[in-house]
Amino acid sequence: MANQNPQPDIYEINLSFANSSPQGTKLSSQVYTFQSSFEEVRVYAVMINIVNSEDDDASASMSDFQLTIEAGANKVPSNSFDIGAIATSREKTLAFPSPVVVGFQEPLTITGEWMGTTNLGAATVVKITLIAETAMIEGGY
Amino acid sequence: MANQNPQPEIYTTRHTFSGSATQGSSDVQTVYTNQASNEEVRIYGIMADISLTGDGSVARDAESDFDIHIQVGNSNIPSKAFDLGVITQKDDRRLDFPSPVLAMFNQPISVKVIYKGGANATGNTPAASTTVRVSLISELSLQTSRGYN
Repeated sequence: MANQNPQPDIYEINLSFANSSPQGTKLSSQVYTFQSSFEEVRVYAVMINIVNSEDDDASASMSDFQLTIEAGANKVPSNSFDIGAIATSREKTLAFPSPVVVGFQEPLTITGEWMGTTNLGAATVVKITLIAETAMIEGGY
Repeated sequence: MANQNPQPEIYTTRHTFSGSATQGSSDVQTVYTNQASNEEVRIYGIMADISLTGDGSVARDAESDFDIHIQVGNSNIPSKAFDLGVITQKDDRRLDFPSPVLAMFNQPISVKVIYKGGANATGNTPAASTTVRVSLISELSLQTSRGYN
């Protein structure tokens, strides 16, 4: 439940891919928004960092990951999308043209997938930060 | 069909060129928007990067001479192919269009990437099998009477 309206919320997810993970390896994590029935969460942007086991930036050597966001039973955006370009950009952030809306009791699931055709060269952590806000429902989206 | 209105959409296409690709080689991928007859897709910008096909390491510094062509329905929008390499070398790897590209119901979106074959260390072929990843930064929404028509 929000303490103010609207309330900024930053959700962080770390997906740890093991060394030698083959192409198509998927890791998922669930975000708990703790919103009440009259609140909605709007995800405005996603920030990506790809790091090695020592937390150093590894995006230049292993950038071929895709991301899927599921709000409830639906994928929003409706397809997986490339996050390598986000991770290698200087700002490491992609703002969506319109926010992803998460309603009450809709689990928010984040899935990362290794897309390289060879096995992953080292243990890699994909850090995903959802830049969001929790607000009372007032119509709109 | 959108689950919310508007709904953000990121359409990623992957274009793989072998290490022996020649100048003018192209790869076309179709984007399926799955939109309803009362919905439209607006593409506000593109994001792109270039990596080696195998280990996914960044390859834009070694090979960036690619053009991109976006086709919506039977029209090219923008009307000409444009340089993709310069986008991948920008800090944000992104180009925002001055006005959105509109895709209506039953209009397939095709993304064509063309290898221009500028000379590099290995001559006029890519240094190795290379994958160009293009993301269309878009929005799916119900059509309204106002706006881009």
